[in-house]
Amino acid sequence: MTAPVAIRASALRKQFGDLIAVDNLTLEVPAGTIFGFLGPNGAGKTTTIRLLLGLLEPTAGRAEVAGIDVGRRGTDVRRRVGVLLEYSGLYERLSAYDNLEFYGRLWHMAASARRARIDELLHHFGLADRRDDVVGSWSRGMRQKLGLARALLHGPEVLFLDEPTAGLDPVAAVALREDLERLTHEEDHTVFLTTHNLDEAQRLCQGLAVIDRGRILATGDPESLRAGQGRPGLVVTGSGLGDDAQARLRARPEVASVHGGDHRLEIELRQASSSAPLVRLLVEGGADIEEVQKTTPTLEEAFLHLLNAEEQQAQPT
Amino acid sequence: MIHDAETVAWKDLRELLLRRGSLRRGVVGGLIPVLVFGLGLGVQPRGAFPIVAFLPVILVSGVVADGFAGERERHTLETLLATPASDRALLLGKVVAYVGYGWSLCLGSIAVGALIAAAVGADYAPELVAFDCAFTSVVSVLTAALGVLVSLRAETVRAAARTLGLLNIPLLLVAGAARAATVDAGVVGGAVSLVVLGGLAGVLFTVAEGRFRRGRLLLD
Repeated sequence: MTAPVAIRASALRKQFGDLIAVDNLTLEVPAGTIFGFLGPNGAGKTTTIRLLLGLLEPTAGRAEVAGIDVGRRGTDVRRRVGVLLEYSGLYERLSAYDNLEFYGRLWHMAASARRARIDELLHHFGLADRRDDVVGSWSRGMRQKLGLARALLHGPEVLFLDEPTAGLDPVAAVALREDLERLTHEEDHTVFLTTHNLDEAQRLCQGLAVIDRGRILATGDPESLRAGQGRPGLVVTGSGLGDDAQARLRARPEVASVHGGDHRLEIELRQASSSAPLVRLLVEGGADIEEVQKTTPTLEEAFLHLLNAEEQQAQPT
Repeated sequence: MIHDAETVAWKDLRELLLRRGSLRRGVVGGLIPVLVFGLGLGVQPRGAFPIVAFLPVILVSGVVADGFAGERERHTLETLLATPASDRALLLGKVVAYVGYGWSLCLGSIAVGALIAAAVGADYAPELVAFDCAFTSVVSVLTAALGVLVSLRAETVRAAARTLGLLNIPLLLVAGAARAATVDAGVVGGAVSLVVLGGLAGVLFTVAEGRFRRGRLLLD
């Protein structure tokens, strides 16, 4: 049985004049997962969120969120989602409580349930003592927490978070990430998260998509995305790894490149393969091996590799 | 829809009253125009340009520029648009908030004016006081509808205020002429002017609703 899909986009396209902001975007986000949407500035991440929220009409294609057609029933979609967009969207002249009260009312929460939920979330995020403070006097980290509380207030099925940790100091970013991870597990939300922070994406997300110039370059889980981009390699430490050993390795068809010195070699492979023949080659050549470590590209390397490939493809020949 | 409009009005009124930093300052800040305009109304000589005509225009247009332009400037608009509230509810809520604020001050000013007129023996008949209450409500709605329409597409509050400043001149003339004509034409004339001004407000609200496109509001 396949898992239910929380977000589905089919050949979604948005064009502003000559600019194609989102081009033929097709993706599926399984329910109950955190999905990372990665891309550089201007890649089309925010436009995609706006399309999925029904705030922009697509030029072509269609999308469903929580099983609802966004184009036809945008209001129903917005009823079932929570958002923390690029800006926290909080009213700075109002208190934390009034900000949540306002949105709770807009989501038609009953008064008693609303009050209980506001108290619960303010306690959860450690903001209960400051509930009557005007939000304008708060730090960015506290505002982001309150923004996340607002997004979670009505128990949405799907959360859209647009770079929630951008601009936060590392401590605040870690705290927000932990809150996000715990709450999404406890309350079973689907999260659509855009981020620049690849470490964050790798820690939090079960699924990822990389977007650039409005087009999806790759999708998959973080592991497969890492493994699918860039080249695997070996790091060998020991002695007797000088020019002679390196020349032997370079002669092997599976080796793409070799760098290093007498005591440490970095070997880039053309594809994932057994390290045993290479180790044997080195030992037969007189090397004394202490350690062999297999390496795969980091998510950052995979991301950059994808963007570079796209850049090269986009350049006129 | 009514519930959402009420909620938006509740939020905007709170923001208006808190814009000077605290509720107390907000109330005190509102009392100043009430006393100044009330004094003017109470001692105004008969035949002068009616202060009551520009009261709602000044009081409402002073705050309505903030409507959508303020939300855009303070980056709260997109989150508000991402709620399930309908376009009409958002517009109506804003109009109700600014009318509620401006008209309350008008009523306060009229009350102060009536008290002063009674104290100094000036000519401010009770039926005219009653008419002015109705008249300022309609002109408040008209000004708020115009303000929300301008504020929808303005990039900043200042830009909206500038445009409204220009549009206030014909609005003041229309309101002044309607109030002056009403005094001469009696009850029927008064009713006609209220209906005409109310109809104009309805047209402006409909135009604003027609121009309300979530995507355009974001991209603007």
